Amino acid sequence: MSDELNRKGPAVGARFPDVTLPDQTGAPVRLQEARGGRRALVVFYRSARW
Amino acid sequence: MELQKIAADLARAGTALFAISYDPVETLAAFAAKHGITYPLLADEGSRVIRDLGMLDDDLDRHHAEFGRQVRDDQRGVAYPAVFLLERDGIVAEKRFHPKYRIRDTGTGLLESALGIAAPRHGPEMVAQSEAVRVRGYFDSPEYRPYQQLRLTLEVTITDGWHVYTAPIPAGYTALGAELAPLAGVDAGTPAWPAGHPHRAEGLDDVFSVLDGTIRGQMPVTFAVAAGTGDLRPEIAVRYQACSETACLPPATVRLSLLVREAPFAD
Repeated sequence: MSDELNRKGPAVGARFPDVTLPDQTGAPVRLQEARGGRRALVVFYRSARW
Repeated sequence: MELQKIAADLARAGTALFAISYDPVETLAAFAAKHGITYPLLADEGSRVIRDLGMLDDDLDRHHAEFGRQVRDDQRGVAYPAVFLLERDGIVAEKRFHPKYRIRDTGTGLLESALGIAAPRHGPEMVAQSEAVRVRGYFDSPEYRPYQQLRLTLEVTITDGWHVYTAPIPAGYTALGAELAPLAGVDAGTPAWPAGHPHRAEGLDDVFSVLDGTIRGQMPVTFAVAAGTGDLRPEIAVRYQACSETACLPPATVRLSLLVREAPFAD
């Protein structure tokens, strides 16, 4: 199970893809740029609704 | 939302925070207003990014079936709950998956790193498991220099209701131990584990020393190799014997293989 899960998503040691998505205000956020050279936690979660 | 509770600590530690879900912007705007969310909630409506990144929860149907529930159409496209820690260069340093979304379930190690409490960067980690035991291992540095000693951490999680034997132990039983597969020039010291607690097995006179829950062992590893040896991948075997109140498994081994890069020359 763990090994199977560990293959999900970007790999440890790989660059996190440069994704762009709107935030809660609708403004586009380029994740790698918005980090501004800082470390970052990127949290995937199911939904704000359920 | 629990993340908001650590948002200030993360900001103080110089760590950015982003959350990604398949919710539309309007949903996230309402959610942020209601809960006072100050960090970016990114809206992947249509789940394109979630899909492209390989983060789609394709187990959802199965999970729901186990609880006798149907998946609603508006539940399709959800991300598998997970946390990624990105280093300053944008490289993924650690990742954690957690079927129930709660940040505290992601393991303190990742949060410690994110909050800058722990060493800023350890080597790549590997998780492997066998019956009743899961082992997460990593070196305290992603790189070695010739003749340098690194520390190998082995985090052993024992399934609830089970324990593993540790030294001192009566003859004929296997204590928790770890050893390195032979690799020229690479030598491991004795692993140090937390002390066990006494346990008397039903119907046996011997008193055993056991460990349960999550424990961390550490093992010094010396890289006595010449400059130019290149990247190495030591293999570690963790031996254990797990028992519950009613059953004992035969001794088992969990194997890890961890990449350690040779550090580039300083000058």
